[in-house]
Amino acid sequence: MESRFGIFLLKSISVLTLLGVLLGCSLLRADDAPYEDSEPIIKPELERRTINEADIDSEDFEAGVFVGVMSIEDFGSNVVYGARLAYHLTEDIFTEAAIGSTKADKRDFEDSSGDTKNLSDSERELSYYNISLGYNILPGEAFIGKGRAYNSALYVIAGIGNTDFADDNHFTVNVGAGYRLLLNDWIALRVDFRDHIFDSDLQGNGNDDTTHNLEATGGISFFF
Amino acid sequence: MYLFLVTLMLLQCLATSTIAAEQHYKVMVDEAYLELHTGPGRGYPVSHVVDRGMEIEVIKRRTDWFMVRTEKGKEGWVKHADMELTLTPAGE
Repeated sequence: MESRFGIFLLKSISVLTLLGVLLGCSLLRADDAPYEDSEPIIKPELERRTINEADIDSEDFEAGVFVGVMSIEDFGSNVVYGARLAYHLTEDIFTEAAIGSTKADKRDFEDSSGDTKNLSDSERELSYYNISLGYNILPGEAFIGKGRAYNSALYVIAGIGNTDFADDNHFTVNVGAGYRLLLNDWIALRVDFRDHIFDSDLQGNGNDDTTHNLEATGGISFFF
Repeated sequence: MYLFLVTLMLLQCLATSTIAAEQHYKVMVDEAYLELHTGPGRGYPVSHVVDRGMEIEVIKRRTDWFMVRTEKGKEGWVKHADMELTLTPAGE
């Protein structure tokens, strides 16, 4: 009888102990939970670094100067010089703003014709500005010598602008083509042929005639 | 006036190239290979190929092309779409 009571007592104690252990564990687990959100005990020595594309130096602008010859219809050819700023939208397409200046010679008939107004020195100054859209065609490499290759591209370009000539502003359309040779990844040499087309009444017949003013220039430009 | 403009442009160019020399991102090639073109355009030929696991340095960008430098010091241009197949140091 006594031994039965002993066994019962032992069983009761062990059950109570088990319950106590389980309760303790659950309490501990509840205590453990906040640790999961806190900082890890061992910190990895890895510095996370994400790449922001905006931080990469982009060189979509091209600025340059040029000099060449411009033929003003009926007014002879003279030196033209100017500057241009281009923005490359894609590898094929670019927009460009340009300014240029040249001077007109005397017309062949200027002194002999009585009814034609002679231009003063300031009126002989021609300056233009324009905005154009260009398209790169035939990109490739130009081989100079045995071991040198330079990137190059032909481009066609057209745009609109204004020409200030003989104290008058003329709406001007320009069309042309050019060649760009890159000396390295940010310096380029450029050759450019352009026709500046505008209506003018300076032809001596009193009418507004469309004039074609051809320009050939060479220049250097820098990508930035 | 023109001279002033030219000087301004040259200064601008110098300023940007100085900034560019400071620090470059490095990425790892995660495709079988990565093609480096001689220029920033599809018409320019492929001059080098970088294998998987190699690290490349991103120097600059022009339109949709990135100029990169390999571990061996070779430079070339990589398409934007191809650059998306590289891993940053964070493994992204």
